[in-house]
Amino acid sequence: MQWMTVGNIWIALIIPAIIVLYLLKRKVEDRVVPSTLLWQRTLQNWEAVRPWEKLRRNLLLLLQLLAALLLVLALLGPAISTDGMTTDHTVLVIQNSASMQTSEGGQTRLEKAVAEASSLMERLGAGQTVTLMVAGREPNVLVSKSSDRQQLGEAIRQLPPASGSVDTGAALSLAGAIAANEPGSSIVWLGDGAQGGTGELSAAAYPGRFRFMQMGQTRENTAIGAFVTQQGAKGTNGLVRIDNHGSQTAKGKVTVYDGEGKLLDTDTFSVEAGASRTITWDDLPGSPVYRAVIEPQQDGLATDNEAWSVPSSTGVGKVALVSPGGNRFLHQALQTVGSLDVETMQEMPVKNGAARDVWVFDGVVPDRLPEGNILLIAPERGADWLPYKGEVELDEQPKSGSTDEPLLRYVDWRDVHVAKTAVLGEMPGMKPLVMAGGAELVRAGTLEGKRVVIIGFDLHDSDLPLRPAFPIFMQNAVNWLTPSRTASIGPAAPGELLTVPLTPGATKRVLVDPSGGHKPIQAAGTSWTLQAPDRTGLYRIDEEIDAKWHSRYFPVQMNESQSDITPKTIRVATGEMQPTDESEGQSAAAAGSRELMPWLAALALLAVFVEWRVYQRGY
Amino acid sequence: MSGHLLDPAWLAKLERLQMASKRTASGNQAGLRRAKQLGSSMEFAEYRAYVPGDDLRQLDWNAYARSGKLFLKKYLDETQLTVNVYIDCSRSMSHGQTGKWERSVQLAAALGYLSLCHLDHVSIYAFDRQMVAAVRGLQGKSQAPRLLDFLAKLEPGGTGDLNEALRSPGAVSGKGGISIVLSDFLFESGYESGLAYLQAAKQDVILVQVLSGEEQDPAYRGELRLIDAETGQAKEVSLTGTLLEQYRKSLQQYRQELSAFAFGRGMPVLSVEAEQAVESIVFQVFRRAGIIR
Repeated sequence: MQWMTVGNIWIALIIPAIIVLYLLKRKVEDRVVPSTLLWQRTLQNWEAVRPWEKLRRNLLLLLQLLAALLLVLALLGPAISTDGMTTDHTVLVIQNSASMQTSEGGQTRLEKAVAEASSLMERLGAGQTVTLMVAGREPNVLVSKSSDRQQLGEAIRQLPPASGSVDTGAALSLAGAIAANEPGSSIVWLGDGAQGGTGELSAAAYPGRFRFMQMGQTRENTAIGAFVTQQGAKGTNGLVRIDNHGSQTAKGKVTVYDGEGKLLDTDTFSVEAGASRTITWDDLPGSPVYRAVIEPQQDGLATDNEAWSVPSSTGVGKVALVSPGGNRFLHQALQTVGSLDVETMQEMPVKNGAARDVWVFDGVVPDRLPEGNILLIAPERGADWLPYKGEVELDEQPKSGSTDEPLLRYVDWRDVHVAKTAVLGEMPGMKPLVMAGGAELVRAGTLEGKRVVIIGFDLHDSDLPLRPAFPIFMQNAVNWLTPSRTASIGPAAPGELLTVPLTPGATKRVLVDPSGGHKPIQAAGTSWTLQAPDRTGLYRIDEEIDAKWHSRYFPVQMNESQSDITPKTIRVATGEMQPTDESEGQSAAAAGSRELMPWLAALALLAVFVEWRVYQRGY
Repeated sequence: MSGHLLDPAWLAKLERLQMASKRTASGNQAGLRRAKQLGSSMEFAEYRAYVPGDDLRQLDWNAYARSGKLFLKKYLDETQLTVNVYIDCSRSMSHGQTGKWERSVQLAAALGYLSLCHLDHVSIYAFDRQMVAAVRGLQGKSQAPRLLDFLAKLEPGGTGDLNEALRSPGAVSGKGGISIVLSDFLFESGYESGLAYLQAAKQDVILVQVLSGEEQDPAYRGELRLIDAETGQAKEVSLTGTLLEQYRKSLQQYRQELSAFAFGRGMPVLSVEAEQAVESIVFQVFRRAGIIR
C-alpha cells in the first residue's frame, strides 16, 4: 500500500470537526404540545426496550464519520500494487544474470521472469507504454516506450539466458533516468536481486514508483569455487574447492575428466552449510585441459557445477637475437631467463616468413617490424616506425617512472650509470619507463599490435649489465614480451575483457566455442582483445603455424560470486509522487484499479447517501 | 343564537334527535318519552313548527285549523332527563392548530341543544382542576341562547385534573341522568376515581375523547424539546420514525386502557378527531354508538 498524496493528511481534521459540530449541533427546537403525557409513556417504553438507544441515536454521526474517513482516505490517494502495469509508462527491467539461471520448480528464474513479464504485457492497458530493459553486466534497453504488445512480448521471449553478473546500480540509474524523463513513470524490476557478494543496493531516490517482483526463493546451491591444475614432478596436481552457499549440508560426487572427456578420478564430498571444502589430486595424467564436475544432491544453479582448468604452459619461447657486434651480456641474460630457445644471428634474415616470439635487436634497426614482439637495444638510425633523432650525453642518474609497471618490478635503477642514449621522437602507444634528466632511457608499449620495448642506450655504454637490476629487468621484459609462453589465457568470466596473446607468425587463427562452432580471428600483432562470450564453457584458440595446428584452451566460467543465489529484495527509496498538473492526476485516476481513490470516493458518496436515507427515514 | 357555534342549517336536524337513555325507561319522568304511568301532567310547554319526520300524533290539529300550519304541541308534564355535559377546560384542550377546544364546545352545544329540544334538564359544567363555570338546569328550547352564550364565553386555561374537578362541590347534581364528559383524557393524575365518583352519583357516564390529528400522528421531526402546554414540563426527544412508531403504540395503549376502564364500568367511550366535522361526529359517531337516536 502506498500513499500517493500524504500531503493531504490535514484534511483528516474534518473528523474532529464533525464531532465538534455534533457537540455544537445538539440544539433542540422547542415545541409546545398539548400534553407530554403520552411522550413520557413513550420514552419510558422506549428506554425499556432499547438499551442501546444512545448508539442508535448516533447512527447519523457514525455515518458521517465513516463518510469523512473515506473521503480523507481517498484524498490520501492510496494505491495498491496490482499485477498489471500501474502507470502510463513503465520501465520494465528484467534481471538477466547467472543467478537467474537457477532452476526452481521446473523452470529457471529467468523463465519465470519472462512468463511474468509476458503476462504483464498481455494485460497492458490502452495507452500504456513500456520500456523494456535488461539488467545484466551492463544495462541494455531492448524496446523503448512502446505500446505494441506483440513487439514487447517477442522481445521478452527472445531474451537469451546469460551467465554474467548484474550491475544493479547501473541498471537502476538508467531505469531511473528513463523514468525521470517521462512524468508518471514507474519501474518494475523482475529479478531475484541476488548480488553475489556486492550486497544490498544502497537506496537511491527515484522520481517514480519502484516495484520489485521477486523471482527466486531457494538459496540452496553448491558450486565449484575454484579449479586449478599445475604441472608437478610426477604428473599434474589438481585442486577443486567446493563451496556450499546453501543452508543445508551438501553431499555429492566430484569427478575430474581430461581434455578428451576421459574420466580420471572421482570422489565424494560433504560440505557444511556456508562452508567450503578442498579436494586435491597429486598425479593426474597429462592433458592440455581438465574438467571437474560436481553432482550435488541439492542444487539450484547447474551452470557452476562444471569447471575447466588449463595447466600452466610449458612451451618454449623462440627468441631471435640480432646483434651484428655480438653481445655477451645479452646472450647470457636471454639464456638464463626462463625457457627460451635463443637463436643468434648477425643480421635480419631476408626471408620474411620467419616468425619468432621475440626479436631482440642489438644496435640494429630493422626497416620493417618482423612478426613477433620486439626488444630493441641501442638504435643507431631511424626507420619508418622509429623516429630517431640522434644521441645525447647523460650526466644524471636514471629514474624509473611508475613502480606499478610489470617491466620495472623489483628493478633498482639507483646505482645504474648510463653514458649516452639515443633520442627518439613521439611514438603513439609507447610510454617512457625510465628517464635520466630529460632523456628517455627505456620506453615500452604496443606498436602495430606488437609489444615493443626499446632500451635507448648500448649496454656497453652503461654499467647496467653489472648490476642486479639487469637480469631482473631482462626477466620482466621477456615475460612481458612472451605472454603466450608464460601464462595461460583464462579463465574469464562471461563478458569480461580478455587479452589473448597470439603466437607470432600464425597464418590462420580460429576461435572454437564449446559447441564446436568456428570463428576466424581477424587480428594482427601478438595480442587480441576479446570480450568473453556469454556462454560458459571451454573455448579453444587454434593457430596454424608452419602448416601445423596448435591449440590453446581457455575456459569461460561463471564468476564465483554469482554462485550465491540467495534471493534478495532490491529496495529503492522512491521520491514522493507529486502530480505536476491536473491532467496527470486525472490520467492516473482514469487508468483503473491501481489507485483506490475512485473506490474510496464512491464509498464515501455511498455513505453520504445512506446517511441521507437514514436521516430521511428517521432511523 | 350564536351562529358560529352551531350552523343554523342543521339545528332543525338536531331537534329531531334525542338522547338515548336506559334511565328514562325506568325513571319517574318521561318527558317526550313514553312514561309507564299515565301522564300525570298535561302541562303545555311550547309549540314548535312541524318538520317532516315528527310524530304526527303530537300535531296540534286545532292550531292547524286556525292557521293552516302544522305545529307540534309539546307538553312539559312528561318525565325529563337530566343531561350533564362536562367540558374539559384545561389548556391542553386549546393548544394546537386544529381546535380540540372548538370542536368540544360545538359538541357540547349540539348535545345541549338537542337535549333542550326534548325538554331535558341540561347542565353544562366547565372544569380544569376544579369547576370553572357551570350553567345548570336549563330546560326547553327557549333556554338555548343561554346555553350557547355560556359556551361561547368559555375560555380554556389552567391545568386539568378530572378527578379533583369532579369531586369539587357542586360538580355533580344529585339527580340521576346522563353525564357526558368531553375531554382528551390526558390527565397526569388519571381519570378513574373521578369517573367512578360521577357514576356513583347515578349518572350514565359517556366518555368522548377528543384528540387532534397531530396528537395521533405528529408531523414534526428532529431534535425537539417538547413542552407540556399545561405543566410546562419539557421532554427532549430525537424524533425519529421508530420513536413515532413507539408513540403511536403508546397512544393506542392509552386508549385501550381508557376503553378497558370504561367497559368495565359500562361507560361508552367515543374517540373523536378534532378535525372531523361536527355534523358527521353527531350524526355518525354518536348515532352509531347509540348515544343519541
